Amino acid sequence: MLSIFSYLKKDQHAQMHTFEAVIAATIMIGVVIFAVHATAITPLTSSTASVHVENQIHKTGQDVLSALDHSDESRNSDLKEDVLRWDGNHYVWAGDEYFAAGNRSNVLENSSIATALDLVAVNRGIAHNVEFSFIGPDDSIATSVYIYSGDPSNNAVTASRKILLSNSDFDDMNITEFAKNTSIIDADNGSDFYNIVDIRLTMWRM
Amino acid sequence: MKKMDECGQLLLIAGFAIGLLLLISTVLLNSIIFTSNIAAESSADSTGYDTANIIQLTSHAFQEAHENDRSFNESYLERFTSKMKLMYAHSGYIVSITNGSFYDPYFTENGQSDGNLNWTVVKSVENVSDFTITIPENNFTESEHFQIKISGLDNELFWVMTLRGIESGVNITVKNSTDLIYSSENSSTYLDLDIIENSGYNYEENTQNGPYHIQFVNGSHAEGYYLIEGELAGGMEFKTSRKYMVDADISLRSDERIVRISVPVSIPINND
Repeated sequence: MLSIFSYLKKDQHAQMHTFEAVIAATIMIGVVIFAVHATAITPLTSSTASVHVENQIHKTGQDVLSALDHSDESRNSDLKEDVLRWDGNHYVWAGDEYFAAGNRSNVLENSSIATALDLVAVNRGIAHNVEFSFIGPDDSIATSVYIYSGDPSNNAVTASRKILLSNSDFDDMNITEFAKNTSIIDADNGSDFYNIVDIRLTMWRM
Repeated sequence: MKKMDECGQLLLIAGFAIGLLLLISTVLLNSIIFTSNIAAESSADSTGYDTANIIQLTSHAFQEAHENDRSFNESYLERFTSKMKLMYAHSGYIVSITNGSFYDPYFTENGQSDGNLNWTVVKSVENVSDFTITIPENNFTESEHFQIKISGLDNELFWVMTLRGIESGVNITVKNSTDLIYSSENSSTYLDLDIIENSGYNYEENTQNGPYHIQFVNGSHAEGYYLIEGELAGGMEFKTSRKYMVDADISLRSDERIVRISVPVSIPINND
């Protein structure tokens, strides 16, 4: 025991050893901390995975709108029919169906958009808003809500599809009542042109 | 060993080396993730969808604006193009749409001479109430023929009409799966065939075992119009026709890209 103490007393280089070891450890720890802050793969940061998920949802939304807007020569597309049949209310999802906000007895029926979103979005936990943008008075762009599920998150994506409305599309309908209920006005009284409606579908993962 | 033991520099060097290794790994990993993120963002480009949408809108507008014969309602078209510019401007695009002149279509799928010449016009037809073919100026050569073919869902032949060029005009023959039903020669340059009303063609008798497909064969050999109206299997009514073609020149410009396309638009027959 005494010999150990005497040996230690003689070894004057140990302080440098310790100092160098501490510095080396400090360098390694500093680099690890730098690496952790610099990389983009922590779960809380925006990563490749979430970008791909957003792209997937965006493509899904675009494909849904494109499919609904398909039509043959002699009839309107399902998307156009949904706009023409709209009563002006905005609808919310109630767990098994869409009903008008503030009026549970007014259920959204015969809506191709609602049916498609029920199949594609609801079952996968994707929240969605559907809005109609159109030309308003004085050539301004007005927006009305069709389906509302809440404020979108930062990772929300928006797909859109435009449709053309002409006066001849309202042959079986009251055009004045449609304009009054939906605010989609006749943007040109001098021709058969009625309006262009941009259907905007915003989707985000809950 | 004693000398090396006294040199802590090796420990420092090892520390630096490990630190450098970690740094390089981090930079490489970041580059990989950054690159794949950039690639992923490019796949979110919606220009293809916007282009398809504007083509469809323009086709609908041209069909709505078509008036008597070879003219457009210019007021409608002017309103349409100006409102389109307004709507797309809010999405960050500059849009320009202009129309060309009317021209006669071929019986190909897209109406052009180089379009798909053998194609199915209507599928799963239960019955037809109106079926007319008009060739305003037949210029079949002797090696050319155009056929209207009716075949069942398993591709069995029900009925076929063949218009074949001959020296003096056009030879029209109608056959079913076994027999020649009708044959005549027509020297007129103008052909107007009402396939339902002309009982000599025996169309309805030979298509009773529906549903069936209506096909055009060698559509690039003839220019003209068609109108087919009836009911599909399942009860849905259908109507398909083509009278003229018009080229739509569309330009879609954003700060990232410019898309310029010329699209042939099919104008249907108006029942005015």
